[in-house]
Amino acid sequence: MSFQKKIEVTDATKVYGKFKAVDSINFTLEGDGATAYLGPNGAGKTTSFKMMTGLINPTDGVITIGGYDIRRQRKQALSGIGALIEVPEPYAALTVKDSIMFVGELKGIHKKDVEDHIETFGKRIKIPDIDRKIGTLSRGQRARVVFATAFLGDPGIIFLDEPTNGMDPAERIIVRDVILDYKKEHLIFMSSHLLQEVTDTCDDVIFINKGKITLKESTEEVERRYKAKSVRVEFAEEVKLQDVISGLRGMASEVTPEGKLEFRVAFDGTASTRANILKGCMKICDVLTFEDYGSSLEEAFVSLMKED
Amino acid sequence: MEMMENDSKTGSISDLILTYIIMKYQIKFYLKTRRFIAMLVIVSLISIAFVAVDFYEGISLILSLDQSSAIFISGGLGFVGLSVGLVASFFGGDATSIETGTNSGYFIMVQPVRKISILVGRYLAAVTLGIVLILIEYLAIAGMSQYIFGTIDWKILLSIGEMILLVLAYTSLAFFFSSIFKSPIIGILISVLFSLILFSVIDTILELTSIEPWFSLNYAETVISNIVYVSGFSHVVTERIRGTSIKIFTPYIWEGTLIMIVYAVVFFVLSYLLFMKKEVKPQ
Repeated sequence: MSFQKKIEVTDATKVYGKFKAVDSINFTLEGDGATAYLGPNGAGKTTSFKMMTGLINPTDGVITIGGYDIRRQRKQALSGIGALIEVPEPYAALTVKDSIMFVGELKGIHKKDVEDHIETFGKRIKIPDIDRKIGTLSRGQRARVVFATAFLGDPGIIFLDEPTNGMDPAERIIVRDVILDYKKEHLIFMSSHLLQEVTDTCDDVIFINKGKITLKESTEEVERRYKAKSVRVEFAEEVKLQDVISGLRGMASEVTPEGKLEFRVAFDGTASTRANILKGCMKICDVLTFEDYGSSLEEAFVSLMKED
Repeated sequence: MEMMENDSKTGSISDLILTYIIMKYQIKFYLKTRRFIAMLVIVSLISIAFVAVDFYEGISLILSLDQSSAIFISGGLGFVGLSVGLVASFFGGDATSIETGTNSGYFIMVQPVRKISILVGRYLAAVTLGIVLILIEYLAIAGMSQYIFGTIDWKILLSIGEMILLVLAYTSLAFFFSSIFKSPIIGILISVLFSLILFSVIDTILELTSIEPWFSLNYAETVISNIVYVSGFSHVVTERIRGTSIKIFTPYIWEGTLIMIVYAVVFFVLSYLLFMKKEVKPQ
């Protein structure tokens, strides 16, 4: 059997003592594309990633990667993946080149292909000087080295747990572009706290909270369902809160001041109410800016956490 | 999304080759660390000290006391066990905990390699470097024997064989501690503590109670020097100290060899079982 671009998680559970870090989760991902795994801190995201990459064993349930059981066929399951989990630390005494060559050899990649990867992919993500020792690199630089190894050998499935952690905005853009390119021919499963990053790159989202999957949907559908239900209004002059509440009576469900000129206005999320709120605001005072408060994904995130 | 097969460039590699790759990079790693330099300095200093003391005592005195190359070599090898314990502890004491107790695990443990390959590769790397370092001491002793007696007793080769067994035994013990403790530093410290102090303390206590310490590695390691001059040792010697007789034991060659083999096998298997069970959970 050859390695398939498929992740199958069946009733996977991880228990630490009396605490259920992951509670019987189920999902299947197949083929090319990027899926985001979202949830608050401690929701079970990293535990799930660790189970899927064989770093820890599920207490219960079965996880197959590429068609292979990660517990029973660990080597085969890991043969077609690339992974960046938590904050990996390659051996401090080895150089950047040694570290990448090491992974290349373990994956059975020809030396020339590894050198080509360092030359092309390494340049693209701006890995540090290949003769520098890992121990002398910053956290962001180390993350880029490991990011480079995750894509080594063109693996069918790529796991990225908070891939832009510790990176500056310019580095994040590079990573985003790499994900956008690779998802065309790879299955990418990633987590991120930056919801804009997810909106920009992922086709599907899976929400997890308190160890349980709460939603699995396409990003498009989530955006449609959780359209922004708040707007931020910035008036040209100082306005009293009471005047805004009175002016938007029957349209706004909640008005929250966010400065002398700015207010957050919550409403039912429909386009007509949004338009009426804009008209109402303009009657109160001249409006400088009027924009959606947060992204649809943020709305979904907050709503799902509240529902729980 | 439709199901697609992977077209990755990765090839299927045998476990044997993966073990070799792990060993190769582990040796590369050790050679670039301060601990290797420290061990090299220690064994070099011991070797230099051995040569210096010989010259300080005077060659003619050594010739009259030792009488033969075998006695001279046997005496010189008395301290090798100490170096072996130290070297094995520093190379093996963090061998598995570095993967299960630190963030290094997130780098290597997600690669397509079985845990047994990681363990064996690391073990072979630690044993290889350990043997190479200890051979420096053998070189100094053999060199001095050639200089003083004009010959090197061939039984030094048997001693090298026993030394290799001792390196295997101490490395297995250090691997066992590295699999028990989460912290790499603790694993190294406990290994050093056992090899340098605890075994000696246990041996001494048992000797005072006239019990043969047949389960002590420290006891077994004396065969390294005894094998070169077997006729110079008795299995049991009774001595009277202030009216109390105590028995001092020296292992038979077969006995010491067996103890080292048992240590090497049992503690390697135990460290394998623990490593297989352990998950990557950095502190």
